Amino acid sequence: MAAKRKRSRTGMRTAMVAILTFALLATFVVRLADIQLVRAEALNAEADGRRGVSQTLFGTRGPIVDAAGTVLAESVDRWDLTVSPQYTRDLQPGIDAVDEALTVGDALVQIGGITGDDPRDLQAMIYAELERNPDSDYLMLTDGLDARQYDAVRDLGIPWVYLRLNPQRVYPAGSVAGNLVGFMGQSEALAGIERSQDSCLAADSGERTFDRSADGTPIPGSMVTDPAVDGGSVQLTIDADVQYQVQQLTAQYTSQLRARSGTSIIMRTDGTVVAIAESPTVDPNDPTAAAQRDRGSRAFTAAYEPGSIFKTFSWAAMLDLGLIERTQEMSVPWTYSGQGTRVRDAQSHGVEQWTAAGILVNSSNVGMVELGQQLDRDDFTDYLDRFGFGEQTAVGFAGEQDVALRDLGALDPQTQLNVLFGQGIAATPIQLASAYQAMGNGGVHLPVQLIAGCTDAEGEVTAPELPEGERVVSEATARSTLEVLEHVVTDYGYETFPIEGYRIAAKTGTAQMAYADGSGYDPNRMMISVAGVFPVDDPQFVVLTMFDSPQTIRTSGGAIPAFHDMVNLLIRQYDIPPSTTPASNVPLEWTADQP
Amino acid sequence: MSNAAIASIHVDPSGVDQHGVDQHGVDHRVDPGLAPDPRRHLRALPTPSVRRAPRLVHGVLALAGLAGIVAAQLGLTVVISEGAYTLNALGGESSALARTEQALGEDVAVLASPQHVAVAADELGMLAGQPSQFLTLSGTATAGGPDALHMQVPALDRFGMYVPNALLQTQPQTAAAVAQVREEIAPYPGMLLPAGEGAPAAAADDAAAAATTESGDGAAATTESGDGAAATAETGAAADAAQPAPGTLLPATAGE
Repeated sequence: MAAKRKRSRTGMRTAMVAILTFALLATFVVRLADIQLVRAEALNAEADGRRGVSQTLFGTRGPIVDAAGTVLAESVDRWDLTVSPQYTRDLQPGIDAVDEALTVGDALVQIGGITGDDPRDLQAMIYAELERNPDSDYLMLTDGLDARQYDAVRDLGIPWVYLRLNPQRVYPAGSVAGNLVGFMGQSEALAGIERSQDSCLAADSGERTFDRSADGTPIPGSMVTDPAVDGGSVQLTIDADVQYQVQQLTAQYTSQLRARSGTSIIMRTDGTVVAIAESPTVDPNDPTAAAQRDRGSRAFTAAYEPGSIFKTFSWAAMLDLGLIERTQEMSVPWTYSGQGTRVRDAQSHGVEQWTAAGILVNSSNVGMVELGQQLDRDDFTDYLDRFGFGEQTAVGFAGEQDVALRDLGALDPQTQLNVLFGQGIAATPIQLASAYQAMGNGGVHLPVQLIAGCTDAEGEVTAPELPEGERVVSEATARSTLEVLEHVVTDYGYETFPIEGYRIAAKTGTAQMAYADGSGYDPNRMMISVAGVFPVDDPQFVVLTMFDSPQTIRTSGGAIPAFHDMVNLLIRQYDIPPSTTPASNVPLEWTADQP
Repeated sequence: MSNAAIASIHVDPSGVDQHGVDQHGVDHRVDPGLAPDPRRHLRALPTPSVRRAPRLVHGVLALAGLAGIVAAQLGLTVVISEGAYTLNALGGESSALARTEQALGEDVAVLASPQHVAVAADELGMLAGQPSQFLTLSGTATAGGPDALHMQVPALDRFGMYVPNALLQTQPQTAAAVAQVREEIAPYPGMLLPAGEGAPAAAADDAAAAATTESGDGAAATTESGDGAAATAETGAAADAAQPAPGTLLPATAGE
């Protein structure tokens, strides 16, 4: 009997334990299903919101540097100061991590003291935002805080202030090469190298996600990082020191001449650009301070009819074709007319007995027309094409003009004549400098090079792909032409032109500027210019300087001191020794033998 | 032999003898020549050990092991989280230092900019250096470098810098220099403005004007210089006529 009762009690206990176990298990299963299946999404979202953090890792946009590595553009960390307007409140000690009470007003005064904003403006912005949307959680009060301001604001420890990283672009050298480097907008590149080399410079953003503990510390093992890739660095061929000084000179002469603008180009005879200066210029740190038309580079974008500095190319083409000789004797009146065409020299003069060299040195339009009687216009077109006219330079600058070459043979007779002295044909300053480069390089035209290369984040250097160089005229022609142009510097009648001891070849030009609508030439607008190559015995540099619509001196004589100073500057900068060969002596005039 | 067979052998040791075949029909009989005594098939099973109560030492050992594991786990976790905090703190310190480095780097870049160097050099009264002289092979004379520039003016005049740099406004020293220059030659009512109101004319021909104008009476004198620019000499410039203005080049013969 006792054994039986014992057994039944044992059975009951077993049953109860079993029931309890099942009940417990069932509860857990139901709870598990509830959490894992029914409310899974909501809970996951809540959990991620509480712990999971996703940060954007900004890659650094690559710098732009000059030939020597001087930084012209770089990216720096800046912060936006944002607040949550709806949670903007006074801080109490005990509740918040502050030692003494801090009202919103005081906080804004402190912030204003750091950022330089008027606290009342900040307050007004917050009120306006709350007026618009009482639940607003985001308002950007001010942007562009630098590292010191960032630390100062963070040290205030105001809980409703958030600092958001927003890297920005700075240009430490200011407007030095500003026209070339270009600038950035809010998010994309707007001008210059920044724009044309964007694929090299741009960085890829990465992302880091991790779970964080209550105090914000990342929980070990939860971090997943997709690293950012920094942008590459673009190296230019320019020399920032020369660029600065040439800009300074260009700006000085532009305002001394009271010109609308000035443009100077310094190029090595291997086609690499040393400096391209513009005045007025743009400071990429503050592009809106410059007028819209001053933000690009006129050297690439402003084609014009070059006038007399173009005579060098038609003269060299004729010499190369064997149509003329330097000492060929010509009688040159000051006007020419025939077959409904009419050409005049800039100034009236009697019938001059000039040689072909003398015609180029004295820049006679009539003389050029008479020399060019035999020049086939199709041949001439080929020469101009090889000099690089009619197509964009290899630089491919943002907004660069190509100025397609017209078929010279199909032009009206007057324009056919005008082309010989640089009218009726347009070119950009960089095309002109590039053509003079061919003269300085023994007749071989090389592509213009402004970008030395792109170095990506791994250190791999990519040099730009450049077309092959091309022979335009023979070496003898190039040398002969430069020797004639040497006389322009010494015999053109400007004391400010030559530099003693140095052989410099140059050609001046006073170009008429056409009206924008093509209805003729503007009598009040001249483009004065000087283009040259030096030293003649071993050409190293091409210098082109031009001033639009000068008021104080309206002939090319106004640009001569600027040219002189730029050559001077290059001699000083690069310690170019004086020429060791005697100056050229090509007869410019002739006298008839008395019978 | 199955367990059941073993059990039956234990229960009835004579079973095999009697039948030679057990319940499963397995013939246990062997060749009498090889196994003369069939009893030898039976082996003694080990005496079943009496299950003793677990000793205290085992329990203690097990618990101690468990505690050890828990403690180790705990310690490891503590160390890892400690590491996480250290990592976080060091990361913060590292980015703070990176910020400092960047701020200082930016300062250096702005101070090294050509504009700042030029303005600072003017401030210090520095002059452009002599161009290089070159020895000729004949050895009797040096071949001179280039002549002087036709126009060399300070980087800064009352209209600001010719080659502006907005970043320099953050440099107190330069900003002060800019303000000072503006103040010095601020136009006053009745002042003879340069013929071309153009930016450079005032300061640009500063040096030239100072050299050509000996009138120390402070009256503004206008000179037509060779290249046509009108220049106005300021009182200060005239007084400094003996001293070359900043930025002026010494003549190439100055040292001889």
